Amino acid sequence: MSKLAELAISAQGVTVSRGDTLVLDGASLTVSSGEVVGLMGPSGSGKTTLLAVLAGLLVPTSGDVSIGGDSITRVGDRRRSAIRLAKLGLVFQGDELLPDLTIEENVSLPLRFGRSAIGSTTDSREMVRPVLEQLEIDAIAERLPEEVSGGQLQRAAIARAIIHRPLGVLADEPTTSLDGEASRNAMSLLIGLARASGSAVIVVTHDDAVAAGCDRVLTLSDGQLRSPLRDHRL
Amino acid sequence: MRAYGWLALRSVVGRDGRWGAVVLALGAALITFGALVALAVPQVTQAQERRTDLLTPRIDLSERSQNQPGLRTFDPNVDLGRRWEGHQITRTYFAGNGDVSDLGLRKLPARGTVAVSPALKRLIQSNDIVADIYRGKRISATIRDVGLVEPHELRSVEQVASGLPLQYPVDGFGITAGPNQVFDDGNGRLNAVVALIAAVTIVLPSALLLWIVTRLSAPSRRKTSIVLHRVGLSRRSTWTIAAMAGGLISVPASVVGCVLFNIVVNRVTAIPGSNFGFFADDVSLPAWKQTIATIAVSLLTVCAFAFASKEMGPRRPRRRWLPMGLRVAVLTTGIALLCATSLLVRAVGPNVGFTIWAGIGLTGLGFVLVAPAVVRMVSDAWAKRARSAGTLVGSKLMVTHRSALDVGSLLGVCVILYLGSLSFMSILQGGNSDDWNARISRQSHIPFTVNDLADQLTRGRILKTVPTAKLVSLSESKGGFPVVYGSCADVEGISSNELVGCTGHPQQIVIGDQPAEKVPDSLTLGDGTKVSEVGVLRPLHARNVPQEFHGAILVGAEHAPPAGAELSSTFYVVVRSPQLVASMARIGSVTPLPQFDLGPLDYHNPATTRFPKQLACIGLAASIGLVIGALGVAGLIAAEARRRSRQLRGLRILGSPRSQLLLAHSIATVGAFVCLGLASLMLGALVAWTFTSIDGRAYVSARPYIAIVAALLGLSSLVVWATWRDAQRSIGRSSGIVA
Ligand SMILES: Nc1ncnc2c1ncn2[C@@H]1O[C@H](COP(=O)(O)OP(=O)(O)OP(=O)(O)O)[C@@H](O)[C@H]1O
Ligand SMILES: [Mg+2]
Repeated sequence: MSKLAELAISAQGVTVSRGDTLVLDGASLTVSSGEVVGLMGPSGSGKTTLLAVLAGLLVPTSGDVSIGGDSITRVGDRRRSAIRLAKLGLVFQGDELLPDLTIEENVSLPLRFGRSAIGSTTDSREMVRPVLEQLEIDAIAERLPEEVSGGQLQRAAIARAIIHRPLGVLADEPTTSLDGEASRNAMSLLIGLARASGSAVIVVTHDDAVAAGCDRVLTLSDGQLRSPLRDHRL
Repeated sequence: MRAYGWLALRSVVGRDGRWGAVVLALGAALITFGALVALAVPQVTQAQERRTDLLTPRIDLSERSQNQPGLRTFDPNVDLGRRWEGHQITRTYFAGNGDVSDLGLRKLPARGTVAVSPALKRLIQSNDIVADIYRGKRISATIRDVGLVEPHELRSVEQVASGLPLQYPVDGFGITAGPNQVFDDGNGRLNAVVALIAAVTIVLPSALLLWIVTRLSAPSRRKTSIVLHRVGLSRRSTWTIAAMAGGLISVPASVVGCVLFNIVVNRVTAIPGSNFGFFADDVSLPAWKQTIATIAVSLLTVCAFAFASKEMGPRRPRRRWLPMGLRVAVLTTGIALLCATSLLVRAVGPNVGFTIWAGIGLTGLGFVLVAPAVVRMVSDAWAKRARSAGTLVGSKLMVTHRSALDVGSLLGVCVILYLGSLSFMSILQGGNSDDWNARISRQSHIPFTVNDLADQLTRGRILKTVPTAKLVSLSESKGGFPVVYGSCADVEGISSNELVGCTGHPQQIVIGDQPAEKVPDSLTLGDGTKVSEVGVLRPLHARNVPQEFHGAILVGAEHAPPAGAELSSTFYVVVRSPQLVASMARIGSVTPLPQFDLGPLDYHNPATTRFPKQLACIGLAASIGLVIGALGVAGLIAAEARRRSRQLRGLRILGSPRSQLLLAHSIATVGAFVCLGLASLMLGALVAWTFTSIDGRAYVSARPYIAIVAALLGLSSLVVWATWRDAQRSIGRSSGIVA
């Protein structure tokens, strides 16, 4: 039983084709709670696609994905979304925040819409503030997304991904717009916070330093996931 | 659910959605208002028909009733409406005595006085022509609301001598629907066309506005939906939030539109710019109708809003649902139909005129389908020939927004329809008053005939009111032979030709070579004089006189029948053209039932218009539609300004000088609109020309064309100015480039 519960994210034989190209060709992986997995691969290899499948944003042509034991490939959009809301936190490439909400309100979204929805604004504030402090963006909590810097935006997105202590965190490192230093810092912060709350983490990165902080690194090429370190050892 | 509402509210008042929200709110309010007006129009028409019925005297047409005492009036069927300076006046005449409280009067006005409605009273004071109609009569009473169809109605009640022809006893007021009600099915068909035109002129801009607003806000809304979906909201939930956001704007806005309608209805008593008035009681809609209209408009906007945000993920390139060849075929068929209509009508007759509607429909549809592609071709050709960077970039940017092109071509269709409906309205109006005035002033003198059904007109009375007129009258002798009364000079005045061989003694008039009817040996003239040995009279050859004069005996005017001689006369009058209307009005003051005939001129005369209400309805619908459309354009301008300024910022970073930037910006912003505007003007002119070719009354002056070109240029300059300021601001704010 405990073994099963520890299996936070699992994917079996996931195949996805977009247009004419077969982006994922039977990719499989399992990530247990508290484990941090780095995902690497050349541009266009399908890393973002894989994260989208794991998050239930994209339904694979074949294969199965389950989060915390619940399959998200064999259910409808409602159930899939509910699972994502309750058990996953996402940090995606590109701007992710709603332009009309303040940073604090953006971060509080998973709490406000969650099944165990918290009652009032003050409740959410009590839960959000400490996380903002940890990410050092509490000073800009009342600002709108267009009034803050790119790095602050990314940290706000991270805060939103972990605010509800999800079972799994999926992060897609932006390849542009941020310098390596800031991005590395943000990813390290994410990994640290997720580890502290016992979440499983899959983080897409191009940065060896970030990869070094992961428990395990997988490489995506030709639609399949490989484990370079293990290969190296062998 | 609370979180949904919270988020919806935030997205409505948020910076990104604010502009769209304002336009949508104004649009929803206006559309609700327009819908309520559309609902109210048939109700008002019905109520006014009922009022008209209530004011109609019930007439006893039976022979036996002829000698009964009491109130008498004329057979209403003989009253032909004529407008005076654009005003339709309902004149009612009674003789004898009786209860007229149903007409809003305490008692019948005495002979020589007149009771008038408040609007007519004002008009008599301000309008000389209308004053001429009531020349020599004192206003003795004002008609109360009970006696009016609508508050601005021009109505008078006068007392006339009893014993005039066509007078019948009145046995009360208010006809009930029944077999004796006149059923006018010609108007029914016209009303359907008018309703269709009115609906299209409101619905088309409304749909356009909704489409613009929802499309413009769609990208940011779609993005919001994507983000929420990633957080873990199902598609249905994101849809619900979008719908709630739409509802937060459109529900209050529709309610405001509804409230506005009620305020307007209670304050305003006539359609602005027309004399189509209404009583508040007739126009106010029952609560359930208002509620349904308000809810329907809210729902429509909510759905449009929600659907705009529904599309998720990357947008698939739109499939061409109609191949280009077919699109061009639709347009050319439309144009060909329009051209063919005029030929067909000339060859076959006016019955094939309906093809013009198909032609207009296909041309409009084809324009929407083809115009964007044509503008793209223009832009390509332009870009190839461009010498400056500004022109190149401008002509490229001008077609980057497909939606702007689509909106532009829809507006072009509005222009085409507008020009077409002007022509149609001109036909309804029985001609255009500019056209009519031009036709009148081309002649120095205008002849017209007057028939007096009440037998009150005599030569002397006409000349007393219109001393400068040339006048000849025609009536039958006691034996039924036609006699023309007038001097040689009078006949010369009528024909504006010299009469060779006119002796001043009785002569038979002969026109051309036609053989004249044989004259009886003796005649009894109107004044009772007997003329004998008429058969040996020398014929008088006349040219350019009315055809009815052929074979008639010309005798001196002094033999003309006196008033009430029961020998009904036709008067041939010639006046100087500037005095035409005043002369008719003055003659109208002498007799209750004058019938004027201007011959072929009447066909083009807007004063004979029979459909003022239909015109007012189209006018009202067009003005509401115009405001809605203008609002849509304003929304489009605002959004284009924001988009364009972002692109220009990119250009600036590339190092373009400011002048090139302005050039690029101007072309990009208005190039497409100008192309579309010119194309639609040409097609609109084609439609107008087709109308003119099938009906000479469909005269459209150059004014609307000039107005549209001016509006196009004005709007273009405004767009460039507004967007340029916005662009400069964002270019100047170089530090504003964030993420
Ligand atoms: N919406 C789409 N429609 C069609 N093909 C797509 C779509 N999105 C991505 N692709 C294709 O799928 C492949 C994988 O894309 P993906 O975004 O997953 O790559 P990636 O590994 O994340 O690249 P990067 O490191 O640059 O972010 C690419 O070849 C891409 O062109
Ligand atoms: Mg990627």
